[in-house]
Amino acid sequence: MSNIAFNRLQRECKEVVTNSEISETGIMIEILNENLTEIKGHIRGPPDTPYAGGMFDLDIKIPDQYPFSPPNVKFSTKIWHPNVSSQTGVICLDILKDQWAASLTLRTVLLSIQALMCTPEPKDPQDAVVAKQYMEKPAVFKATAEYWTTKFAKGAVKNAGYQALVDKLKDMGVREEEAVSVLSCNNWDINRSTVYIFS
Amino acid sequence: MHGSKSDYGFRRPTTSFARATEFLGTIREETRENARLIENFDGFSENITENSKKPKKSATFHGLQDLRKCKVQNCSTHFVTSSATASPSSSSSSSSEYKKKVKRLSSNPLSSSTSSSEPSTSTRKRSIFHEMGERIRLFSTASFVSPATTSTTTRCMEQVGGGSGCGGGARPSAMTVTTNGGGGTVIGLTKSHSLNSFEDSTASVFVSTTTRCHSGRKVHQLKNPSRVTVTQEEENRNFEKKKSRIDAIGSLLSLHDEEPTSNSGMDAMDLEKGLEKDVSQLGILCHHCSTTDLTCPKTQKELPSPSASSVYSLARSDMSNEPLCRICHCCWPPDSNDPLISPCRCSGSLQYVHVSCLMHWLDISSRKLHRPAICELCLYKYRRRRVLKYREMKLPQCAQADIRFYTLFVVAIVLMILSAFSTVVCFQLEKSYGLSSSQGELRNRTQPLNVEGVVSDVPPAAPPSLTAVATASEESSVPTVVLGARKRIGDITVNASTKDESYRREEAENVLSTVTLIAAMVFFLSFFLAMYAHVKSGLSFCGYLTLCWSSNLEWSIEEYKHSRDTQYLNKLEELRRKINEKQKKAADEVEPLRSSVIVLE
Repeated sequence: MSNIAFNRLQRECKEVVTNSEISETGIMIEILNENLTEIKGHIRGPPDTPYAGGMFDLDIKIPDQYPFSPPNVKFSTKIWHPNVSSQTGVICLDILKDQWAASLTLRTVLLSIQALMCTPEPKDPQDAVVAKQYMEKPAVFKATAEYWTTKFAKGAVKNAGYQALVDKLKDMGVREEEAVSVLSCNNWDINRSTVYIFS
Repeated sequence: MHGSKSDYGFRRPTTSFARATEFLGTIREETRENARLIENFDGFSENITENSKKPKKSATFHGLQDLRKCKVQNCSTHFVTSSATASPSSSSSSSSEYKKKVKRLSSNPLSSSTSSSEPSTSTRKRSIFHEMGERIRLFSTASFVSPATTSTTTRCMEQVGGGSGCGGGARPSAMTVTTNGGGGTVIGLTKSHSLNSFEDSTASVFVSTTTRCHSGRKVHQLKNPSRVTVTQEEENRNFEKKKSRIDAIGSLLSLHDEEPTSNSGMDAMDLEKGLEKDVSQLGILCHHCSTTDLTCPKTQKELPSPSASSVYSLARSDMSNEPLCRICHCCWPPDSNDPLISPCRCSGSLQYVHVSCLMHWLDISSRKLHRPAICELCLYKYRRRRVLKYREMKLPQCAQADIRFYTLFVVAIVLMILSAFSTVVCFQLEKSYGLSSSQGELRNRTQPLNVEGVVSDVPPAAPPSLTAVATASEESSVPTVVLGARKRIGDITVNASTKDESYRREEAENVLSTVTLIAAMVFFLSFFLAMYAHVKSGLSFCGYLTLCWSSNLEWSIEEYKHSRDTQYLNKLEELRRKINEKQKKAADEVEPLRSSVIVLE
């Protein structure tokens, strides 16, 4: 990594750490290696969204050309969101791709991701199934997203009905994660899910 | 600070007390001044002045409560002085000594980071370390005396910080310190913090170690950068003096560990144990704070509200005060080659950018993303110009063989130009020569009789030239005496001269034509050579020249000016119009109201 990138990252980390936004917006970073090429980001789920109360982890990989090329950011916590792949956690966000600007920082990126969590963009989806559910069955989407938050991001409230469905599938010998994802993709229809899994 | 020292010495048994008074003698003066300052405060002033004015009289103190009050008062004055540095309105002449000290202490972390390369810094560091350690010890006695200290400390800190921010707030904040009763440890804490930050200043610290230092300090640093260096020199000078003082205190302490005799001595030992414990705790606390900051268990337990606001303000002030490049986040000193400019509408922390950084980014963004040269955030199109670098011309790299071909090409071209020029000159000469000579011939033929007399005057030995012929022809109009005797001779000489002339003319013509021929041959030869060089070289000479031109051209980006931004001007105009409309509307609305009021009246 070039010297300029390292210096800049040091300052950015300092900026994120010392800023009041730790308490206000719940953005944190954790440095994984000395070269600052791998950083772990934490975003608190924004209030008044299905993600409220959850703590979402992100893997940030800094390329050599940073800040002239965008950092590689993806969710390591599973999240039910139209613009995030429910399987891999890849984020569909323009500033992480072609709209990246050298003046953007880790802080602004994390804030943008938090803003994306507030306002999903189903017309430009990363996960088509989630986007479809978001468009057609908003209530189910909300419940699912909340359930995912409680399940994977340690949110507080649990949806007992969904948990029972997952447990049912688990009893059939399905892995919990798979059961959750299949049920979510099938709008929590247990019959369709079992057919999907066992066919 | 010295007031608290005297308090400390005051609690010693009599044997060591004499030793303590020796070096405390000098300090007493300051204590008095301190007390005078305290008198200015309402509330506790009487009690404290008594205690601080006559520390010799009684061997033991009346009670812990009084001691605490006294300390608190001293510390509160300290805070007032520290806040006075930020607010000149509340500064008094007696507090100047304290001011200096506060300044020095507060300036240490900053100045150390600037002069970390100096060899003397290590000793300086040590001295400061000693001094601070001692102070922490002293102040932790206060914390031992009053157990409710650490929880209140931050509150005091914040209040004092807030007070020091504005001049008027200094006094009330000082009062809150006294009522909270933990002023002593506040200073202890700040010292240890600055100590920590001081040590870590060279390492890469992500957590701000200066979190809990009051913002008054920051303000002061920003206000008097020159003062900082001065005080550091002072520090250096007073190093030996302080060291001796600290040693004295150290010996005092050790002495009392050995011989706890009287009741007060027991007290002292208890104090000391507590002191040691406290110091270690402080150390741990500060260590935690410097590494994990808010997650520090002790801090979380004892500090009700982490002073996030002060952190924020610190971070902000860092951002706003030094112009940072928005791309590399560095602030190199203003350099003529790579200045910080503000090329677009962006302001705040995004206002400035290095020219080189911006050029690099524009290069990448235009190549990779096929974007025009605009700011991605404010969408302002950068005003760019291409300028040739006259001063630092750099020739692009090329192969050795190519250089040979280029020289051949250039030589051939020069030869071509020369030969062409010489050909033209020859043609011209020949033309003029042929013209004048033919004229001469004509005249000679038409006026042979008139000329003969004149020409006979011309000595036959003299070589006839073109000019001679010309003058002869001109003078031929002059009427001359024609002598029949000379007629024949003249005829003969004229005939001879014309013969000679024609001979020489032919010679000259021959020379000219040969020169023309050679020049033509050289021209064609060099032309073929040039063609050969052009074809054989990898990159043609013209290509090389254009490459040279383009590589020496560089984009220069102009600074943003409102006057050039049409969009900005339009918006401004629009806003003005709207404001005017609103004002008009308001006036229209007011007028009927007024009239109705008048009617009602």
